[in-house]
Amino acid sequence: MKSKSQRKKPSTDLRPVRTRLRPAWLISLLAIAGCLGGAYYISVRPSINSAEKTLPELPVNLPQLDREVAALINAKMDQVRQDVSAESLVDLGLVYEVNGLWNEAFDVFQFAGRLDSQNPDIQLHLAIAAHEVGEFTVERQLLQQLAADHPDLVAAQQRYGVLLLEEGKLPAAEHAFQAVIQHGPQMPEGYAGLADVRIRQGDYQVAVNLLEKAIEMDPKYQGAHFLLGSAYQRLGMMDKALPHLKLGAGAKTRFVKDSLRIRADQYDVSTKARLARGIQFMVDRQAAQAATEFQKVLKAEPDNVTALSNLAGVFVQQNRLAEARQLLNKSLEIDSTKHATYVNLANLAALEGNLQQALEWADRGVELGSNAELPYRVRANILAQMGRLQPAYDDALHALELIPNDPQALEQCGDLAYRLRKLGDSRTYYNRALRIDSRRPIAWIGLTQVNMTAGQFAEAKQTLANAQQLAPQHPAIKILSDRLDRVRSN
Amino acid sequence: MNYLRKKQLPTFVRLTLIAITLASGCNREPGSGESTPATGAPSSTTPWFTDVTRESKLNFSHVRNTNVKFWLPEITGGGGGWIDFDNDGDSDLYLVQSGELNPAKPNPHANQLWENLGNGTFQDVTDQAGVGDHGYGMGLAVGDYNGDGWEDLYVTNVGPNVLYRNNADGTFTDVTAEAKVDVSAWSSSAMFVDYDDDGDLDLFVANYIRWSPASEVACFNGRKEPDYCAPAGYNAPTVDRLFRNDANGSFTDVTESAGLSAAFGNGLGVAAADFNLDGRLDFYVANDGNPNQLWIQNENHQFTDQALLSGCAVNRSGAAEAGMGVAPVDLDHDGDCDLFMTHLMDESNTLYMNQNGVFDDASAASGLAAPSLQFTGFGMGFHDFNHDGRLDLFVANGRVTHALNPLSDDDTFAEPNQLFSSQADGTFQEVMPRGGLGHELIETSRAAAFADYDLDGDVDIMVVNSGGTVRLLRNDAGAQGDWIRFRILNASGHDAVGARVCLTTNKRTCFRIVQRAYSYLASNEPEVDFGLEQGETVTDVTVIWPNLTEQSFGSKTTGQRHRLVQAVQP
Repeated sequence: MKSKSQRKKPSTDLRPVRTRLRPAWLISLLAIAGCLGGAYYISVRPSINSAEKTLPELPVNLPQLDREVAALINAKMDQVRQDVSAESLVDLGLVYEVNGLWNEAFDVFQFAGRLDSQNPDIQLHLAIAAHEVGEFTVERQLLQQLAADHPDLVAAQQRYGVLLLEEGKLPAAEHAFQAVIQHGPQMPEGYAGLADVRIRQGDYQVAVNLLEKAIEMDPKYQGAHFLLGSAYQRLGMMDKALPHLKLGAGAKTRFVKDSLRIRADQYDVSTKARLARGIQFMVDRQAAQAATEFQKVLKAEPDNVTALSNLAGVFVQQNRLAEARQLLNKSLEIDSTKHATYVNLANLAALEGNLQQALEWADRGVELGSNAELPYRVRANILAQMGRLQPAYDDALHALELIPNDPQALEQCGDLAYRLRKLGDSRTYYNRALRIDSRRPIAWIGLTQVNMTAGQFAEAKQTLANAQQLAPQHPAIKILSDRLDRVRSN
Repeated sequence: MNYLRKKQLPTFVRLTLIAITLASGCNREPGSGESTPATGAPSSTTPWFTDVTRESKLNFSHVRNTNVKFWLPEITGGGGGWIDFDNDGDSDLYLVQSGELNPAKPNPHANQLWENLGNGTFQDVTDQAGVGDHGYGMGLAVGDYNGDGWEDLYVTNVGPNVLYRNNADGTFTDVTAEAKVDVSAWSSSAMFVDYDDDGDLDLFVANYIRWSPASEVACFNGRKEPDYCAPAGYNAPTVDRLFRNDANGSFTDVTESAGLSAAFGNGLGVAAADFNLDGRLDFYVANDGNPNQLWIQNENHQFTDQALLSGCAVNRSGAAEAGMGVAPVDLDHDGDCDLFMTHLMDESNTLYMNQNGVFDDASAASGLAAPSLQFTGFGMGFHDFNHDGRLDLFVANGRVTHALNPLSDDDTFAEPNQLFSSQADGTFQEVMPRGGLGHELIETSRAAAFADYDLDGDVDIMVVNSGGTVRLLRNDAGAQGDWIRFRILNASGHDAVGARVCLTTNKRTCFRIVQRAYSYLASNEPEVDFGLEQGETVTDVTVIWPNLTEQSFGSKTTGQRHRLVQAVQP
């Protein structure tokens, strides 16, 4: 009985049921509608109730909406009033879409589609909104048409493929996913979709190959992990199946983002979206942008522990240790069960040189977040700093189990294996990281170290050149270059 | 013929077999030809059922709450089922009421027992029988736990559950405390089953959420209007309970020692069958919003959750879905137990085909996925309603959150129920008008319970509607074909839940699994029913008991009910 917050109704025809307009809005919207003139009756494919004449109303209970969301809606409505165009309507629709106001999004995209009937992006978002409001027939017709008319629109092809899978139409689904692969070969969703078709056809080994490719592209792709586990399971390889099934359990269907959706993300001002954006900025080492997102969350929710902890993490990155400590202490006071808080405390203590305290915090982080890879990786770092290489390596390997094919986790394993003089293992980890992303200077540097230690200087020269090309200023490169020169001169 | 274990077949052969056997409904003898609809079988526009609620004099309305507060139990309840409490051979009805949720106030609403008078009408005998529990009711389980030949009743509540012992004189006694089955959680579906094969009925109780009014949380829909929460919003999954019958009128809670406390969930539906054909009964629990559990019974009556590795914990994409009702069924007639379960709108209902202990999600291929996406399914059951030799499916639907564009003026949660007819091409096709009636009923349905209440040989349906009236749907389609029905009793005289019945006719071989507690918050008639084509004769009936011993009962006359009793082992 999971709740579904949006309107749902079964499809009986293509006519959307509309909400009743309130008089004040009705007058102003009819005025706007009157300005639209002939453009108003442009038909779209599929034809959706050409009698619709009104712009959507604002959501009811607007004052109860998040203040930022309401302000955004008002601003976009003003834009529409000033310039009734497909572009302004799409902007409004995207605000509705990312904030879960699907009825309104459906109405607006429908309207926008009439003004620009040739725009496939609008049709795609109308299809997405149609699904969310339960207009499944409309959704299907739109996706079918889009897939036929725009084979290169991978977001539509992939959605259509998923829908066809649900209907059990495997050849058509295969065609859709092949189009995704052809026009978006860098997108793992196409390979995962095609693998799903193969599993349903009983061709499990081919599915395994496709899914390994998808996971190589995105090690965190839960759905692909689950399908890979399922394929192994059907091949009778239970030992291989279980880790992937565990990693994939809880997956949600993932859809390729189209250009409008990418634009829409900036309109998602919900706490969840801000936190996600902030964390991504942190991963990308864009500390200032990350801090801005977390601070906005804290302005609205001063006790949000996730935001507190992550902002502290940003401050640790920026070496603003006192501010970080203050935030982490507050975070602990509010909720002492979040592993992320302890991970950041551990990092903080390590930066301050208090490794024993850092280890204690990291132990607590592992205890509370035993299913997350980060506490293990942080503890591995601390243990390595303490010279306890073998337990550090064990932690790094455990983290890798939790997030297979993650380049950073692979690099950490490579580094620790090297320091334990397990040169073969170290080389394997670095090579795996580079297969996933060949533009990783750390992996090239690590591989150079391995090559030099193994006496493979020609290979070392090549791998060092690759590292130099990617990160010429990296301090390790100068050191390795000097060492290599000395060896060669001897 | 050895029915005990299936032979391992190459994948492509197995897939082909699925298609073929789904198509035929049963494994047909070579050359016997494709199934043809019985003469005069209803067309897709002829109603299969007639709503006879009024004529039957059933008069029960479910009450969600006396003052709706958007508390989760309000939208979850609506249970009921069939019980032959007076041992007269026809099925009576027990209807579970909800009512007042505020524990500080008395609940003016009570459960009701309706006696089947044998002439198509029912009579309220609640007061005489003494089974008018005033708890906030959810579901029930029916079984003769004390082995006296009379069916007893276990009622699940939001709060203390109740065990009523049948006094064999039309009355019951509340023996909850002395039987030691007093669960004070929020329980949902329950079942009596002899899981340890010692001859008496044990009790499995699915629990939903650790809940109290104080733990309620405010939830809002996309328009920031108050609405019902998802169970995840409470973050309070719980453990189900297993009670072992000690054969002295009381039970022992063996949940912990049997290993069932190793996994938590939001349990709503429960099924028992031998899913891996090892001679021991297992349990399957459909959880709402978290992974389902397949409790495989090991030696010494210990259980291990094997759902993830067996492919039935989450959907084929890895997502945990909102499991509501569940039914074990051998849909491809290969002798093992497949599973069907209902889900939330936008999550298709799921058909898992058992392939040597690993489940394949065959929802899309069967045609049952797409038509279910727009509805929220709860109770359900597979029966050959029209006696054409193929299993059909009835699903009771009803939303759990407010709809801004309701399908009914009276009830924002209401949806039509659905009837699916099994087709010759291996798929199911929805029967129109929706629900198999002459006109669609748009209601918020929860439990659907199945029985031949009028003893005419076909399966009728009782539907409990949340916040609405109960419906009794008389089957009019079954009269077009022939039938045969069996009551399968073990050596102790209990319905042999989990036993498999293999029917061989001059045209085919079919399997049924003895079940009583499938669907959602329901108890069903325990007889197994087979629809037959005109002229089809039964050459053998073999029962494979839960411990894998086989017993052949030879040929049987069609158009009759038969009691098949397990031979006592020397």
